Amino acid sequence: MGFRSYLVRRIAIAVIMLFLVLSINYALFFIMPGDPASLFINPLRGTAAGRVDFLNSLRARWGFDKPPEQRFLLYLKNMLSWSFGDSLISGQSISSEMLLRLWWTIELMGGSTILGILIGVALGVLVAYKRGGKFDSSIVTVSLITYSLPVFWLGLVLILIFSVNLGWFQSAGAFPYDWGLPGRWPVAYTVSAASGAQWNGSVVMSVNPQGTIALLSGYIIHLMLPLTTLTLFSYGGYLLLTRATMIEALTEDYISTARAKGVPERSVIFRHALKNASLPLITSAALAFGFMISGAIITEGVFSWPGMGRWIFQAISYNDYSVLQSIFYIIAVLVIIGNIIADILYGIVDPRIKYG
Amino acid sequence: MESSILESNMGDHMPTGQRKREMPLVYSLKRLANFIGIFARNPRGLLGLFIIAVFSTIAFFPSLFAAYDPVNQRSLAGWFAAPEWLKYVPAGLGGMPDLSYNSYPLLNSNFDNSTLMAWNITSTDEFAHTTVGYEESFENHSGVVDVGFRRDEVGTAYGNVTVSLTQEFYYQYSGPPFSFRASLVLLLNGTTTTTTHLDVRINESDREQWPWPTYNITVSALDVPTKITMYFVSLGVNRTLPMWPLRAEYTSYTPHGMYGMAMDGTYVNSSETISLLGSEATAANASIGSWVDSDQASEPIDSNGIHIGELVSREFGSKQFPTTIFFPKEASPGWFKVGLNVTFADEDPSRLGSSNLHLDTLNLRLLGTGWGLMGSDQEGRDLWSQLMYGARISLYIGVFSTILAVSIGLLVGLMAGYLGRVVDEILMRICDILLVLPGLPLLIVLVAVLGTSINNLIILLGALGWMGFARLVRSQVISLRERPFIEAARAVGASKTHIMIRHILPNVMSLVYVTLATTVPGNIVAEASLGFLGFTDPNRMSWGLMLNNLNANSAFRNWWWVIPPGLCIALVAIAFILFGYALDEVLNPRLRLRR
Repeated sequence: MGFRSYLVRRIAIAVIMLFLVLSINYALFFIMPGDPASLFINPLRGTAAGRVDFLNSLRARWGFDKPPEQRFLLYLKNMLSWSFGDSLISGQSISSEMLLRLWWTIELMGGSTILGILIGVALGVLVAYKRGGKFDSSIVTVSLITYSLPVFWLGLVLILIFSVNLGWFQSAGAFPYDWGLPGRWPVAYTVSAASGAQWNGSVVMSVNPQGTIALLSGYIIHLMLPLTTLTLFSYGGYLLLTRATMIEALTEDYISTARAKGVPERSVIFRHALKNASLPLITSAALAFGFMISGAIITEGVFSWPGMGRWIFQAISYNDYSVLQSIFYIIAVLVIIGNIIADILYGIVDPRIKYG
Repeated sequence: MESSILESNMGDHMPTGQRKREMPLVYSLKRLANFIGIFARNPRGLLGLFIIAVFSTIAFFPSLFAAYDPVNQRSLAGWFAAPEWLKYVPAGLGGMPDLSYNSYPLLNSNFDNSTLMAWNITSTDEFAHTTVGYEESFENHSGVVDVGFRRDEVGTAYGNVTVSLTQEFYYQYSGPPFSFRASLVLLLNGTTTTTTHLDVRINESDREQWPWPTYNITVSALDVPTKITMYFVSLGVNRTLPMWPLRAEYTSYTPHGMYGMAMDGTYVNSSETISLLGSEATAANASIGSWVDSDQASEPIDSNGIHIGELVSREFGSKQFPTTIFFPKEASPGWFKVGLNVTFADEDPSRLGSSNLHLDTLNLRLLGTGWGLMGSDQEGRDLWSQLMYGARISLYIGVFSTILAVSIGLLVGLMAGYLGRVVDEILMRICDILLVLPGLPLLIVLVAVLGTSINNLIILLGALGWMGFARLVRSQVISLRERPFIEAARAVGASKTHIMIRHILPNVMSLVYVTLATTVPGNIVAEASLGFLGFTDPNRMSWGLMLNNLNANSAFRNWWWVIPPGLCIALVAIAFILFGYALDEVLNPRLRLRR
């Protein structure tokens, strides 16, 4: 079977999976007992009839009064069109609320995932190359420890040291809170129309060095601790994985052959061993990017980070089913896509792999 | 053939099937002894086993290691207390020489002649119309003080007559206590019995600017209006401060997140015999401002538009905590005096009669800022006990959820791998779908819906954690399926169940043991994460819940509270990983070359 037909089959399976996930996702929140409408009712205020009216109006607004099959169709339409509908609690459209938070999560999780992979793979290759020594065992022990520590505790300890005692970094939020006041957000650069007698359509961008520094330092002192926490948490897994697969690759015959041929050591490690050892790494990295938007619930909670993780947590606290359904759906899509990409990358990295 | 131990280490003892059937017990004992012999040569594995043994002992018998109830015994000391031993650490190394411990300057639960003698008793009318004595028993209370007032003839009003009881005590610490609590039981005139616990908690050491809690009690059901005040004198600086004029809104308002006031005890708020007067009696209060909600902005403003912080400063010259005003630095350690005034307001000269006030349980308890091995939490509960009892929950949930997950994974893997075809396809697609859903959010949603009981947590962690192991077992089974010995078994007509249980299962058991050991840490951390996020039973103290309490109260600076729970989680997790790796090396000896 050729690559194309493999891809078609793979995508067909993915579509079926996606439909199953969509159904489970719907069923899960359909059978959940808690009623989000009841959160809006104050049992001490108003009359009983008024409360029932209000409850019914809320349900009608959310479409809860429709029969289940219509609700399911509406849900499918919302999910497949990527508009997601409105949040039950805030009443805002979910996609616009998501855009507010997505960047902060990408900044944090993307940064820490990339850093974790880089550090983990680099150290893993080094450790595998020097396996058996003191260096190997100490690095492996340290990474085992950081890998098995609870991530929230890591965050708390970093807050204790660097925020409470040393005061170097901020422990809450993604930017200084006073930036939220009007006119306080630092201006890094301005774009204006070119001056002159007649505007020729060009623009002038003037960089404001003071504003740039304020902006960067404001970001960095807030980003530093959560980023370090997540990187410390994630690098260990990649390190151990890289080490295991690298050791396996380094004991293969073709490595001895390459060395006997006189291939430089660096090339032996990176082009012969690492390339062959990278298949499991690709899988786990692809999965990590799939789970990126949900991966930081706890860390975002510890550092009051205004991202997707805290949104998920709030949505759970307030029974905001529509938000949860949308996020679960997006995560499932990302993971499925990540898996397909990993499979395709397999073929590129290792031409021996036959699709089929 | 059956297991890798046999292959590698028992070559010369390799039993035939015959022998094995004859002496199964001897055989398995030998095998176990052999296994222990190899395992004992692995120092890391032994370390892991030792740590697991220590924590298991704690988990089974937490009461041997902890003296207090981790959840229900509140106010053992002041809130957020530091460990006691920090008092003896030099200040440069993070020590706290100003810590104070719990102390009980007054303990007069039962009065008798000698306890009453310890009090200094005076009266403004030189006991012309007033009496003070003790009674052995009064209305089920043994040993009460009887303060009486009597008017026998009609004539001029005596005005205010005050009887005061004072007692001095030595406060031995250089720092103020976290708070003090006084209790007083009033028994009125033999007709009505009302128990009041006046419980004053002045501030916690690191929270600022609480309004001055003051109490004032007027007893109006007696024949003569009677007013009781309790006050407090710091002899070192000679300053008298009232202990409780009571605020009016206190009776109707139950603030939350309020740290200045005590909520313990029974307050008389709607009693007919005692009315609480606040507003006029507390002229000083009026300027102290209104209640402050801890959720408010950093500088709370009272109804007059004045910053609370300023008010405290204006009242006492500088911004200080109430306990530091009661126990000023320059006067402690030193002598203090606590006093009780009973004022009979005799204004109606035409009325004859008497007032008798019976007082009992006049106690003063100072809650320390230092407590125990690990300090106390936000409700004054013992953190060391919480740590000890937390081991039970963490290990219990970690181990049992792992057993469940591994069992499900084993079953699914065996069935999918050996039966193949439709069964394999269905089981693996279920596996895929569960892998695609985000683990922790799904877990939280399900816990939030199904409830936070321990059994629910175990079931959910087990039901959501079997997929990886099922895949591992399946791939192992698929490779085993084609081996000659399975084919032989099939050829002699063994049933599928028989082959799976008797031939395939023993060959994947080494994977099972290793996975059991290496999955426990993940589940312990998952339980701790749920606890940290608050999705756990608040009546069962776990390490995650300890950190949740810490985070909820932003007590990050209390490192003695931050470090131990996480360290315990990490220790247990690493112990299981070390143990699992050691098992792996023994049970799968071919890997030994690689590691």
